Amino acid sequence: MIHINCDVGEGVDNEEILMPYINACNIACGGHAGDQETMHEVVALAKKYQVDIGAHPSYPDRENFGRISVDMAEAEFIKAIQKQIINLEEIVALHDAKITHIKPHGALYNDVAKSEEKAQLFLKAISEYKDKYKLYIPYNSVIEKLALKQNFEIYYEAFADRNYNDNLTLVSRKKNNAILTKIGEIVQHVSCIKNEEKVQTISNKKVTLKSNTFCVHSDTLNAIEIVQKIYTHFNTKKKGARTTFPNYKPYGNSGVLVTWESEMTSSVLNKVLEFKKKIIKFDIKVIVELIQSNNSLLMIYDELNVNFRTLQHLLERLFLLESDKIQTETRYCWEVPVCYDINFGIDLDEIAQKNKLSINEIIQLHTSPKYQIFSIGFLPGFLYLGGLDKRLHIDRKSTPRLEVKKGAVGIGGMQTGIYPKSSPGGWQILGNSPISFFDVNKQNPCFAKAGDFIKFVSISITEYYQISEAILNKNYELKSSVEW
Amino acid sequence: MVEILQSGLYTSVQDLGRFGYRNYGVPISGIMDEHHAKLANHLLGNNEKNAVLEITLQGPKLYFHETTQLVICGADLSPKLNKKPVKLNSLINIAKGDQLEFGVRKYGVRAYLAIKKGFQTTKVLKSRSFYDGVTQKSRVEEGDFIPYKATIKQILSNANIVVNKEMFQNNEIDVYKGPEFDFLSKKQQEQLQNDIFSIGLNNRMAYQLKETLENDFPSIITSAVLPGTIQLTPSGKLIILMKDCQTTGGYPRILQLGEASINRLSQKHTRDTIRFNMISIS
Repeated sequence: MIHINCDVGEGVDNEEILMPYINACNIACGGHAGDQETMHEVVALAKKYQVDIGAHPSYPDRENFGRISVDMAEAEFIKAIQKQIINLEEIVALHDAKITHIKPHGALYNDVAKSEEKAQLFLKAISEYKDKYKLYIPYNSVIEKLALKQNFEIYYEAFADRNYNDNLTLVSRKKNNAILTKIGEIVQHVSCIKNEEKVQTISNKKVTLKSNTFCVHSDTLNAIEIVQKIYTHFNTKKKGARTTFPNYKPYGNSGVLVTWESEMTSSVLNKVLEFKKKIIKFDIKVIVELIQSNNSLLMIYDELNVNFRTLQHLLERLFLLESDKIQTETRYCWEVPVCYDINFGIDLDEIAQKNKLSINEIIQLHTSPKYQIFSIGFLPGFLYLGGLDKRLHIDRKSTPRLEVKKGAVGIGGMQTGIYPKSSPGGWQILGNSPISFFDVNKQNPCFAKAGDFIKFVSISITEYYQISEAILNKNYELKSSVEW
Repeated sequence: MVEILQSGLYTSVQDLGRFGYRNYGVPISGIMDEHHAKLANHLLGNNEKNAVLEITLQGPKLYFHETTQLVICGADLSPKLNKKPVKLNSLINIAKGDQLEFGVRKYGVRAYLAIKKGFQTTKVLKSRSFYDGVTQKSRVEEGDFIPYKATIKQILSNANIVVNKEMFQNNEIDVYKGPEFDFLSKKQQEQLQNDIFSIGLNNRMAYQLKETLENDFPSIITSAVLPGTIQLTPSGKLIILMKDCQTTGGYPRILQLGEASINRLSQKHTRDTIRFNMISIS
């Protein structure tokens, strides 16, 4: 694993895409960039993606983006630094989040790395945070020794996209070899520091450099590509590993298909529905439609604003996020009246004969289980139901009927279901329900949803017509009970 | 209102489709060849979401009750206004009492008739696209009236566009790997990439291909499918799903057409040939 941090809230506005790939962010808090609004936005995003939040104070110099040293009186400097941190602390508190670290910005970062006076002053300014926040600083710097002496908890930081001088200072941005932008070079540079604790300097020497976290500059032109590549390079599982579920596959140029184990069981369905709920709650704007079926979720995304890999990564990360606040939706059990009269149950005789059951046994077996709704598909309002008794499994008719009536309740193979409208079909028909499963005039065109249950209740032909009439007069309410 | 004097082979009102109801089993429906329908709307200065008439192979005979303008794009089905031939891809002024009819098919399968401000049939679940069981009709019938907003005056416009007919002849269909592509044998994968296929039975739900693949790949657990998905049935048949396709299916999804290829395929007729060109996802 690799720990990546980025400086954010500096006006580049790419945080939503960066966050899924990084572990920590350093938020500009008014010194060189950033205002109340950007801080709120970035803190909310960091919280959403469970990214560590750091304060990123600077010399108060927005004009030069904090990139040149500023001579300030001691008291004035301390006040300026504390003001920035307090500012962020207040906003973070409003989001019910917390700050984990402090990282000085730009010229201040460079100054405290080499000047004892500046380092002392900076540590004085942040001394009250000593026990609360970690300090991100470079290895073998002036501030490192002082901070360790004063019992600051430090986190070594190296730069993934910057070249180093032999004395471990960064090559000045004024020089054209200061910044690494080629992905291959960056990966090599990071690997070397990560694996050997050594950096290859611009004079081709290898100098010891320790690092707990790698910084990628979010304002580099290809910053997104850099973090994605570093992330995938260092966090990808070795090939040959067992397939894990769920797995993610592209489906067309704007679809991500997330698939679980190849089975139609409640436990798989629950995983699918739980993830679906999480995705909806998370409100990912680039997902335009979410289609659920028995063991999979298909997400249609806005391909102009996100690509498959970025979205896959975001989803993988989301999948792992703690989700104790997500409540499963209330699930209902709907009592669906079915008339098993021979006038409706046109295949009852055939089922009885083939499966060696009496018609009463068929009705009894069909009405005893609670069937779980796995998904809705095939026709508008057609419910895929799980839980049919094995003794009722029967092959589809060898020649499909040209028309099966609306409301027909049938069995096809191992499944039972209700035809929501008249259509051609090959299922064995054992009855008919007067209930409508699809109504375009209702806000939810189908009253039931995946995860709910259906229980069939046998009714007489008289009751069938009574219910039909009550439905016509809008005077009928389907019985349901809360399942959990 | 436009009055349908003759319905033609299969004429329906379509817009860009019905989104957000697939979890209830409602298909997307909508225009098959979006490229030409959008072109027609744009030439009129319409919003591309405006509903058009999708006309298949044999055109209808229409009687206009109010002044308007229209544009016909896509297949050339020899449109005639009051018995005189009119041009495709350019603005046609319609006066009260005008009659529009179609003649022989010269090229393509589906023509798109866009009308100023779009056809105004009732929206059902946020779309005007005809689909049996969602809208009242799946196609227009003789005697139907389809509403539109009359325009006050006729306009002079030279807006027209020369359409590249190469689009109708080109038989290359761009495809991505489908979710189950990797489960196919090497031989099946090569066949798909090298063979030429010809179109069998086809409609707004699906295009079947006449050639089959040797196949022992079983069905999958019912899962979502999309327009443009190519399914492989246990008997080796290839089925390309189109806009009216069901929302879920149990056959392996081996390939997926790119959007432009769905448009291109929508203009192919029975016995036309196609070949697949594999592309990768960006």
